[in-house]
Amino acid sequence: MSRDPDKLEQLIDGLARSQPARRAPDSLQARVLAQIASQQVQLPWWRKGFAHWPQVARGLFLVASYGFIKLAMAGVVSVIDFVRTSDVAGVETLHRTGEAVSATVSLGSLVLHAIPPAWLYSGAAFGFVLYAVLFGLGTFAYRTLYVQR
Amino acid sequence: MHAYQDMVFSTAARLTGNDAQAQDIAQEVFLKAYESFPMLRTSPTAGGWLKTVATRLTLNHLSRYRRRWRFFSELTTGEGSDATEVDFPTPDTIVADIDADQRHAIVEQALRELPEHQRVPLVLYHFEEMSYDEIAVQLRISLPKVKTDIQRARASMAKILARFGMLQAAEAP
Repeated sequence: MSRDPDKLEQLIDGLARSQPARRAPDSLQARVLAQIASQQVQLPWWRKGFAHWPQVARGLFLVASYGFIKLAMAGVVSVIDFVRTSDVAGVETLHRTGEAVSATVSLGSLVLHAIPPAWLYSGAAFGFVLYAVLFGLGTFAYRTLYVQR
Repeated sequence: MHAYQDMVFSTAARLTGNDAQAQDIAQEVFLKAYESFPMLRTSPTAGGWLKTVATRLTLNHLSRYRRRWRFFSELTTGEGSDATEVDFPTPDTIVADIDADQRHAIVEQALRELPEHQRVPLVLYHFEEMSYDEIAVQLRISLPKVKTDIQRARASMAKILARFGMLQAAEAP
């Protein structure tokens, strides 16, 4: 036995180079073909990934996507233009609507804070119990009247 | 497929050391090849493409364990250390009276017996003919560690081959 790393490298390298490829199991080809066949049967093209779509469909999809993007951008631009060029009455209407929404939200918040927390928890618990009872009744009715028929 | 299935299976089997996993990986390789069939049908480099994909998929498959063997490997050698000198006894010659088929089987068995952190870099270097640098990049480990792991793998393999009676010390002059 020597202690020469180069010699060991040559030895292993020689063995590796003279080593033939291992024989693949006979079942491999059949497995691959079966898998390909099942993939082909499984899904229509529109439910597969974009890379599997037909060329025409891919082209049309890209064109349509481009059109939608253009349309969306044009829409945003026209809305901005409309707001900028709208008359005073239109702006006022918008302003009033905003105020009305804000007042409604404030009122809701006030009412919510005015109700004692215990009432809120009781209400939530009551709602949950009602839901559970109705769910149970529905299940019972389904099993009794429908499943056992 | 028939022309390349042995090559693809061998690559996966030697890297994983497990025939069942290798068959799964080979199947995946050929399914990818089927997806790229229009490109591969006329390509003169189809064999290289298949080998590259087989290697990549096998390494991906092994990656879930790679962190673990990197940890243990680095625990013994020290990350970034330049400990490329490994002291080991080297058998000098291959026993002549073992026939080729038996020798090939013993080599495959020896590869299977190597721990994964030694087998993978050794197979990549000696069987897949990748450079140390390429292996370091693929396995995301330092270059000195690749060299150390491969040297240790060679030493382990020599011991296994000697145990099977395939190697013996050369006659003293």
